[in-house]
Amino acid sequence: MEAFQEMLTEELGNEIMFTIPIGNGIPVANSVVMSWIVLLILMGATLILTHNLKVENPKKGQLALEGTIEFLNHFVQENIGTHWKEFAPIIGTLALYLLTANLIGIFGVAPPTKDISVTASLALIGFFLIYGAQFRYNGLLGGLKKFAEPMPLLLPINLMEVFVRPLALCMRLFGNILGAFIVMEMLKFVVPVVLPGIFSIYFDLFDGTIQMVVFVFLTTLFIGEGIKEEE
Amino acid sequence: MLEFQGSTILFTLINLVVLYLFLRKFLFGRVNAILEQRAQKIQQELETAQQERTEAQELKVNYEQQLAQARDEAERMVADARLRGQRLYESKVQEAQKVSQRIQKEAEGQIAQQRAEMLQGVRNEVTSLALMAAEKVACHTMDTQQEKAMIDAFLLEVGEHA
Repeated sequence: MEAFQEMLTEELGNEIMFTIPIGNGIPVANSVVMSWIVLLILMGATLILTHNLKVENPKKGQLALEGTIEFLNHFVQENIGTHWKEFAPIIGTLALYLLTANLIGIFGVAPPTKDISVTASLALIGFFLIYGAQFRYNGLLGGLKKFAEPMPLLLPINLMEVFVRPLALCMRLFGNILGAFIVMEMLKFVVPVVLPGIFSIYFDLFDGTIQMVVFVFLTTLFIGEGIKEEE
Repeated sequence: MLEFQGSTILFTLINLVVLYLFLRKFLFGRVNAILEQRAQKIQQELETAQQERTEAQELKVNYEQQLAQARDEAERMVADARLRGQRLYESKVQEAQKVSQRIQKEAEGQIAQQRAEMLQGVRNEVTSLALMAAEKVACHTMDTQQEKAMIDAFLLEVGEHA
């Protein structure tokens, strides 16, 4: 039991893979290296999938790819409105990164989103996306006015939301992925065979996908809320 | 144990920006371009089809007009021909009637003439017979004009009664 506890504490922190010897040394965490692998996978897949796109007589692979992108476009269009063209690639990037990062746990490695620094970074991106969009498309005054909507009474709550939203996004993702990871580790510790495989379907596949969907959906929703014109 | 690591946050930000730029260019850019091109192509084809349909419609109307014209023309020609034929037929019939009438008249004239000639001949015969008979009776030649005229008058009288 003691060994297990030790292992858990170890897993909570993110070990440093290596240190770049510049200045005081820049530590490169395990999660960053995993992120690089995720990037490589995504870029490689992109180059393979898009190297021979055709306007006429597309193959099944291309059709699936187009369907996915169209789905993303429609989703962003529905939630963000007129400025969807700028946001669709961002949302798509987030979705693909999160999906791959969350699912990479299947291969027995630690998913990068288990590291709270990674999710904090994602939260920062979400923060800039949400409020950057709000001020960019409404102007400074218009952006400020959005905080007093739907009624001025809600101003304090809206201001609180500026920090709560990214924090919630960050913590939800981190907590879920870490939780799933810990449960899986425990299972592997107690029953090393068969059972982890079955539960992996839920904790790695389902939970990872759901967390990606939740993060992307909420981010899109918040962006849309900030810039959508009142009908 | 739960600590925010500045370098990891920064690295992740850079990673995501790089991934975003890459995907925007090679994934979303390419696929969206294809989708747009296809949409454009479909739009174009639809327009072309619409145009062609309009043209076909016009052609159809044209043809139908021409067809109607041709049919009219044909009908007119048939009616014309029929009329002409009728006229020709009538004129021929008339001509034939005229001819036949003329022939009939001629024939009648000839018959009348022949009859008259015959009658004249008979009368002459009878006159000469009567003259001969009278000569015999009177033992005297009756050939003066006066006598002949007298007998003719007599015969005419008899002929009228006969």
